[in-house]
Amino acid sequence: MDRATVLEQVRQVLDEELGVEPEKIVPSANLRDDLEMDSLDLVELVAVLEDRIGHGIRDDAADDIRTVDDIIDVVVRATAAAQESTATP
Amino acid sequence: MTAEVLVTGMGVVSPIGVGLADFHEAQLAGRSGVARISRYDCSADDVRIAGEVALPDELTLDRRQRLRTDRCTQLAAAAAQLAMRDAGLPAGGADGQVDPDRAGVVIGSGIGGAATCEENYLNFHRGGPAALRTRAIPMSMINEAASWIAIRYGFTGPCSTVATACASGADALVAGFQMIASGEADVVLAGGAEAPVVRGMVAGFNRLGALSQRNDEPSAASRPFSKDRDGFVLAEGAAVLVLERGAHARARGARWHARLRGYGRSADAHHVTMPHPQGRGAGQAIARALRSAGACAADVGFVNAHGTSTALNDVLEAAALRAALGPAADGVAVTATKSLTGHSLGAAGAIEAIATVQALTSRIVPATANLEELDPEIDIDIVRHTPRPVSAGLALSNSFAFGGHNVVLAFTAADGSAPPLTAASV
Repeated sequence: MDRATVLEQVRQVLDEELGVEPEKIVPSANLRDDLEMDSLDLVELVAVLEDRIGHGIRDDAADDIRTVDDIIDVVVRATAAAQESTATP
Repeated sequence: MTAEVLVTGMGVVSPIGVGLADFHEAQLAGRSGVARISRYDCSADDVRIAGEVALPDELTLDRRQRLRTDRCTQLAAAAAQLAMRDAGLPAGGADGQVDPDRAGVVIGSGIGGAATCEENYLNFHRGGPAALRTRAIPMSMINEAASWIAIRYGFTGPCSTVATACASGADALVAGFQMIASGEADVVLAGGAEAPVVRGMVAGFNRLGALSQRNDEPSAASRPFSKDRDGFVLAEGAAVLVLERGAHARARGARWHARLRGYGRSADAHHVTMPHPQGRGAGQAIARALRSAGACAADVGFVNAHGTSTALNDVLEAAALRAALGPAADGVAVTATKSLTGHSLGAAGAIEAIATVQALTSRIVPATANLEELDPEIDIDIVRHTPRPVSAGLALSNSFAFGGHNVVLAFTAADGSAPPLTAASV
């Protein structure tokens, strides 16, 4: 999944589930300082993203998320890992 | 424990009106807030009527806040905002008029975040643990409203919730009184909030046989003291009063609506849903309220009744008033706000406290709606057809609850030194 698609997905989830204004959601945005998200918002975001991409996101990966870019990294990695494991015979 | 506890602000969001002016005008005009349920599809259900609140945009939390709060908290937030504005304290602790450490919050609720609970249990049973929202617990907590208000206004004094079913709103005012009387706080935002227009809740109350099924005549369904009453009408709403220590109110130049003079409480110690067959607990609470206020039965000008429109409550409440007030009951005008608003459970006691104060300040008791033929077993003077002028005196507001909790509040008008009141401050 390319980064632009993931960004779009993140934007959608943050808008629909948490009410974050879409125009604020740019890759460099800090979740706490720029988007005023708290820890519960992050847990909710990760849960909904997992549901939408159809793969789990590791807890330790989620712990390091600070910015929108970090979320994109985590989702891209989770998707790639899942594809790799299904490709392996 | 005595103290001079003044009501320096009031905010109400109810099915018959939002804000003091609309709420008062609807009572005097006899305008019902009961209508067909719009919050969910009720078409297949036995009960299809309720009292719902139409919150204007300016009192509605932004979308982000709405997504993280239950409607119960949203209604409480709106009432708190109106009350703080009315008290001349729109910024809470931020404008220097109130020391945040000396400011408390107590919001009563019977059931708290009912819609959140129902939605999350439904999702949980369909989709397992992963289907739960992250905020399922905080949004359904019964103390969410009190917590939200303390956060919003930065009040760091005592913050609490009371849950005594249909007496919660009145019990919260007692708790607020006590915070001031005990020296714990100078200002308390006290009230009640409820958002029970949720399918499972309506069905649950209906299973108890408590609700009116007069679906075809919504505005005539709530009929307190009427011979043909058939149950109460569930409603949502919230009311918050700013209770303030007298010396504190004077020092900041506040004006006040009335004084919360005292209260009486009791337990039926009889049955979880049925009132005591002689109205014993209700009568005790009324007598204790008089004692607490330093008053006697002859001082009572009028009573805002619990008056739910159920077969048992209304006849036993009337008997309790007769027993507690004795011969003086003949001169006491009694009215039931729920005839218009429906029954908002844990909010009702606070909403009716505001109705009581409005009647005190205007010296007019609104009529009980839908009362054509009085139940012949009821031997008290119910105001009906048209509002009635009364002398100020002492005003009582009754709240009786499932669980056998009885709370009676006693108010007196603002004394002569108070600047003129503007009831229409919203």
